[in-house]
Amino acid sequence: MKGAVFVALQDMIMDEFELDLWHQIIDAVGSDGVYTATLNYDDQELMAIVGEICSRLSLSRADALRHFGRYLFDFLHRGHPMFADSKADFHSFISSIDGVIHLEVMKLDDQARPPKIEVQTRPDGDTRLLYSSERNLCHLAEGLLIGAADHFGINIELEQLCCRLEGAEVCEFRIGKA
Amino acid sequence: MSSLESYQRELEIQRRARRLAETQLEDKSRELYQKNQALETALSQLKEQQELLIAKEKQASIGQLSAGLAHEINNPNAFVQSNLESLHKYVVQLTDAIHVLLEKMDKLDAGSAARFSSDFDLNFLVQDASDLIQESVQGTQRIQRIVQGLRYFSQTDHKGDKHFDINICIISTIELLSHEQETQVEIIKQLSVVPDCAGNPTLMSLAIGNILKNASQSHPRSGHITISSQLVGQEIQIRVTDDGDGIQPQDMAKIFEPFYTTKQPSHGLGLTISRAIVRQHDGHIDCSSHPGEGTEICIRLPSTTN
Repeated sequence: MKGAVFVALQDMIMDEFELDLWHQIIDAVGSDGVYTATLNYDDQELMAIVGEICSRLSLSRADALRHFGRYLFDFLHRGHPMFADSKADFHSFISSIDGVIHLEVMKLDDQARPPKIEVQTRPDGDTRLLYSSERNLCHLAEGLLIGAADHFGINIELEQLCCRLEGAEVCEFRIGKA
Repeated sequence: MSSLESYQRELEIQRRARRLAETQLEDKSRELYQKNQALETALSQLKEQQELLIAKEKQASIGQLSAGLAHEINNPNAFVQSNLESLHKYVVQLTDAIHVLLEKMDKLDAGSAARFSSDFDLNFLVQDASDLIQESVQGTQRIQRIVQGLRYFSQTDHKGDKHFDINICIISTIELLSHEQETQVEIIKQLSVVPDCAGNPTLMSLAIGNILKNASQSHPRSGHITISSQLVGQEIQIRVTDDGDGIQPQDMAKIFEPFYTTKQPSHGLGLTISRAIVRQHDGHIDCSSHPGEGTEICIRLPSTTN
């Protein structure tokens, strides 16, 4: 996992809680807490930190990841505003995730393993987003979608129709306007 | 943990993260530099290949044109030459016949031969006809030499694969030229032991001969030409250096062009043929010159140790 995600997680804890809590979390998972945005770190380390956050704040894994996803969108947008700013609306933005944003990620790091995102527009006007990743961070993706909707100033209804964690081949979201 | 201690710890963590980032930046910069170097090398090789391809294409076009021209010129030139030889015999015979007639005229009427000869300017006509034929023969011989030169452009794959010692080739070329030299130019040999070249020694001898002739023409009366051979890396380098007039900068780009010459009666194909032969042997030929000081032509050929 890219170091940027760890840095964003630390920022979120420091912004919303206390620096000391972050130190307690990294101590508990045995991390030195030294994260550099452009380097790669073990996925398990991120999962351990998220687990520790959940346990200390009495949150479910899904809620914690969803909350972090929303924060992560803003964090990433501050660093790379061109991706969202170049799109007219939420739909065009999410449609560009795989073909534009993940492509740029791969240009900078050919070892990166971004998720596969496919956006489908159904004949009834519904938008479906298919998420597929070996990391199974669909709740983080959900939070990112909410963050993107906030950015474009729209309210969305998100419904997860199926999940890889429950045996489905891909995680599928129905995105409707609230 | 107090707030101050917490911030001090965080400061240390951030310092370490910054050092990591700096190390990564350095590594990436180095990688970028190396990739840039590799790209520049590749670009330079591509340009060289492109120039070589253009040159080969140009040579092939010249070859095609030359083959056609050589054929078209050679045939009429051959019968003009043959006719001139017959004409020369006829003029000799006619001159003899006129002399016989004049003698007979004098026997019949003393002094009539001189008057007749004077009236028709016979002495001048006989002499001038002979001179004109002689000049015409020389002209056709020159055409023949040019056509022979053109043949080298139309034969692009005839280099052969014989292994030969370039030093022997150089020595025999100098020996051959010594009989043709009109100027008092001293040729100094600085030949090192080098591996064999692959190709056609006769053609290579022609290429070197043309360069040596060109160098000797750069000296009005006398001078020195140095010819050297040495192995540099995997290449055999043959350098022909003269202390002649040198080449003006504006003429440098044209010296290998066909029919370009500043020295009459040269036909301007010598260096063009040399370059074509060197290229047929997968070699390179370059020229550097300082007007008033001299010129150096360098041939680089792949050695058979490659």
